[in-house]
Parts: sequence; C-alpha cells; structure tokens
Amino acid sequence: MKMLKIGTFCLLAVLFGALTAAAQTSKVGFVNPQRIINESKIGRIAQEDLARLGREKDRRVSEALQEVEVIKQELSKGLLSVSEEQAREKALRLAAREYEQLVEQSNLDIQGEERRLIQFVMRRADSILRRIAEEMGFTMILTDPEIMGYVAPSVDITDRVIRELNGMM
Amino acid sequence: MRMNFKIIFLTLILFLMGTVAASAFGEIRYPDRPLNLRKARSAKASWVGSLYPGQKVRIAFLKDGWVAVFEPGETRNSESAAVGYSNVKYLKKKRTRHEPKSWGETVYTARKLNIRSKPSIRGRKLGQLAAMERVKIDFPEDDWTMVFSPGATIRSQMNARGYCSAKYFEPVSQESPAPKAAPEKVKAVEAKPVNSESGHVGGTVAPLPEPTTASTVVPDKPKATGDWGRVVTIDRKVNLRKKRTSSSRYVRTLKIGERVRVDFLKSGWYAVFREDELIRKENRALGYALRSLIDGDGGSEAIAAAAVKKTAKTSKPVLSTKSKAPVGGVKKTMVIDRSRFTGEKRPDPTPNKNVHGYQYRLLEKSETKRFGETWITLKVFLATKQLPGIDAVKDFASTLWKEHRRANRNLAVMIYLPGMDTEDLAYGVIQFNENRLLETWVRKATLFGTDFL
Repeated sequence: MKMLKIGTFCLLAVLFGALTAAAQTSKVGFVNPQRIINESKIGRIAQEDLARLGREKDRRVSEALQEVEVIKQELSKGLLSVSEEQAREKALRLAAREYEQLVEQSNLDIQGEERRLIQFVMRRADSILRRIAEEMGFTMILTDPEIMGYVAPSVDITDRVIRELNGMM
Repeated sequence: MRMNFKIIFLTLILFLMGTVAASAFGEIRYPDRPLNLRKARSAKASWVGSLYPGQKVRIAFLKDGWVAVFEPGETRNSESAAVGYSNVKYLKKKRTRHEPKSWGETVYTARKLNIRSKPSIRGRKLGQLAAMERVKIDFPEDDWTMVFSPGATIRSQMNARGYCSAKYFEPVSQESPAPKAAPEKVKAVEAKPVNSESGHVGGTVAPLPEPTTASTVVPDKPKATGDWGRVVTIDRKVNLRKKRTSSSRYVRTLKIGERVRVDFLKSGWYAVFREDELIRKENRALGYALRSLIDGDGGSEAIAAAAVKKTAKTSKPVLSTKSKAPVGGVKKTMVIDRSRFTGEKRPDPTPNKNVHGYQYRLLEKSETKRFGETWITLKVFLATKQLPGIDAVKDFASTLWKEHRRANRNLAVMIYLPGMDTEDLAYGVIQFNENRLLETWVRKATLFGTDFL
C-alpha cells in the first residue's frame, strides 16, 4: 500500500513537471497587424500614400470622363456633317472604352498597391517582432485577430511594436 | 522462378534510380528576394531577366559565388542550358518568401512563323512555329517579341527560343483553336545558342506539361454529384466575364467572402459556378474568372482583367489586412517575411550620370506588357541629400522620358533614394505615354529607415 502511494506521488510529480515544461516551451504572443497599420506612424504614412495615389487616379479618370463629355456635347449640338458625325461617334466609342479601362485599371492598381504597402510596413515590423519574441520567450506570434477568442494583455505586444516602430523614425 | 523475378525487379529499381540520378543535377533553390539574372558571373554583366521571391529554380556550376540558374525541370547538365547567372547568397535552400509574379502572355499563331536570332527579318532562322502552336511571349522590341516555350517558368532573355514578329500572334481565349505541340525539328534547333552578339542566348527547357491548355474538357455526361471542382471563398472582388477573355462581356462581380465552385481551368481562366451547383457542365457556369484572382497567386499589375466597381471613387482607399484573407474557406495566419532584415543592407549604387543637378544611375531598363500595353520601366537611383519634392521628381523623370521614350510605348520611371532597398518599392513612380505625362506619385512610406524620414 505504501509503495502504491509513493508510486502515485512520483507519477504526479513527473506529470506536474512535464506540464510546467510544456507550458514554458509553448508561449504564444499576439500582434494585430490592422492596428499597426492604423496606429503606427509608418502605417499612417502608408495610408496617406495610398490616398494620394487614389487622388491621382481620380484626376486621370476625371480627365478621361471630361473627354467623353466634350465629344457627347459636340454630337448633341447637331451641327456636324454626316461624315463628321460618324467620326465623332467613333471617337466617342473609343473615349468611352478608354475611360472604362482606366477605371478598371485604376482600381486594380490601388488594390495591388494596398497589398504592397501592407507588406512593406509588416516587413519593417518584423525585425521588432522577432526581437520581442526572443526577449519574452515566445515560440510563436499570432497575427490574425479573427481567429482569436481571447488574448491576455500580457501576450499582446501590438502596443510595444507600434511604439518601437515609431521610435525608429 | 521466384529468384529470377526478384533479380529482375531489383535490376529495374536500380535502373530507375540511376535514371533519376542522371536526370537530376545541381540543386533546387529559392530566391529570398526579387533577384536579377545576369548574362555572366558578375553584377556588372548585362541584365537578362529576373526571379520573383520564392521562385523554384535549379542551380549548378558554382564559381566565384555565382551560379548558373536553370528551369527547375531542366535535365541538360550543361551551362549552355542556363537561363542566367545569379549570386548564390540570395538563393536559399528553403523558401522564405513566396510572391509569385506572372509574366509574358500566352498566344498562338494562326500561321507558320519563323523564329529568328534577332528582332529583324535579317536575323538567322532558328526554327519555326507551327500554325496554332501556343507560345509565351515577352520582351517586346519594336514589332518583334521574344518567344518562350509555354511551360517556361523563368523570365529571362536567355530562356527564349528566339524572336518572332509580334503582329502574327493572337491572344489565347476560349475561342482559340486547340494548341498544337511544337514539332520535333524546332526543338532540335532550340538547343543551339541564339543571337550571342546581342546578349540573347538561346537554349530552352525540357518541355514541361502545360496544365492549362485544353487538358480539361467538358465531359460528355455531366456529373450530378456535387463532388467536383473546388469550392473557394473569394478574398477580393472578382469580375466574372462571359468568356475566357478580359475583353468579353462583364457578367457580375463576386464579392469578398462569397463562396463559389470553380472548375474547367483553361487558358488561365476558371469557369465559376454556384457553390451548390450539382451538375458539372460548363454551360451552367455563372461566368469565367482569372485563375490568378481565384488562387491569389498573381500580382494585380500583371492581371488584365477582374475589374471592380465602375466608379471613379478611388480617392479614399483604406488600408486593410482583410485582403490577405485566404481562399478555400480555411483560415491561415498571416505569414510575415522573415528574411528581409537578416542580410546585410546593400550599399547605395554609385551614380554615374548627371541631369538637372542630380547625380543618378540607371539601375535597370526593362520592357514588359501590362493591361495589353507595352511598358518600358526605368529603375533609377538618385543620389541626393535633400528629399526631392513631387515637382523635382517630375522634372527629373521628364528628362529621362525624353531620352528613352519610343513610339507606341509607355514609360515608367521608378526612383530610389539613398538608403532605400533598390529591390523593394520605389519612392517615386512617374508614368508617361509616348506623348505626355500620365501620373506622378511618391510613396513616403518607403523612406522608412533612410535619412529622409
């Protein structure tokens, strides 16, 4: 009976030790990339860059639309000869197509640029993430806020990453 | 009897192993950044092409820190089959980044077409494309373009079969006739070097299977099990088209998060169905969508379709990490590239030219097709201690445009400043067509880590 008690105690001790060790080796941190983009200085600069690109694209689209409108007005006056009218109609079709293509390309350009800028900012944050992970003993850092049910403030290093990113500027 | 069988079996196994060992040479590597390919083992050798981060390549013949780069499926163990040279330190054994970038355009020719060593009818005839044969084209030069095997994965001038006149090519669409395999006699000619005097060396890869061409055909009897195709969750706005071409009629836009079934991959386009579609029949598709938009493996710059809303309200875009949502309905954690800060920062290039009081260096000049238009891209390092404003950048780029502009070509000038990584995003992006300035834009975020910010 005594042997059984000792055995059980030893087993429990081993189990406890193993659990502690396991807990120590799988410390997980969390960083929210959306907050880094929204709240860091570099993220805000990137957003301004993107807005500037959007304005530039808007300007080009407006110019293309203006061209379409000018041809439309010429046609609506009804002062053109038949051959001139045919030529202007052809020009209108061309201008309208160019306008549509420009809108399409502009939107694609902006979407692509958005992805590139996010990656650019996150690559800059990465050096900091790595250092913090080593310092705080994290074996991994999760970055997707949508899969998180709960994150303890002690393992959420977003604020620190933002602070250090800002400090690098 | 049993013993004999064992001996035969073992012999066969040994023979097979020997064959595999003989066919494989060098090793597979992955670039950890966008990587230039050079004509010879030197950073000063002429630029012949580039690799995207994470692109699978075969390397061999290491010498002075430089290796010959081959197509991953290459079996010819000879430097003459190399598609370029690159510094081995940027080619890693494991993939650390993966940012695929599509290149070229798959086309076919309706008639027999000569492949020449130069972009001129005076060029030596290297072979011939059969009528309806499909090839990839890139590196346009005036009315000529370089042609590649449809399975070529590496964008390099040294990977080209030669030059063909571009006017005889038609883009591949749903209506395109079935592809025709390259005749043997052409393949035999390909192994010879092409146009060595102009820096374009021939030699093509062992032909790879082309998964996207006519291999998926509509079955005679449609399946009605619902267990077909692939269900994906759309991670960006994707336009559906009536046919497998970006110029065909717009059908509707798939919204982010919408789940659809895709199948019948052909010519880089998927047929898209309702998620609950039971019958596998192509005429029941909602429309067609570009594979790169569905699989998310292509840069949007290279995609000539998939427009989003047809409004001009683009001035207030909001950065969002949502665009990184995975396809297939499976959540993945954002993968952050860990390689960018591991290596030493490259020194700034040394300027060798002067204009507008600015010293600069032209780092790279390349030509490619985007949205069906030909673009000349100039990568320029501008040696300055003061941050150039948008007007200064515009003036500087305009001067370069006057020098480099060509008929029927657009031109983009990418400006890098001291302290910037010249393989990453540029500070200034200035675009021109052949007649005028189109747009000017600067990315201030790229100044992070430099003395300018």
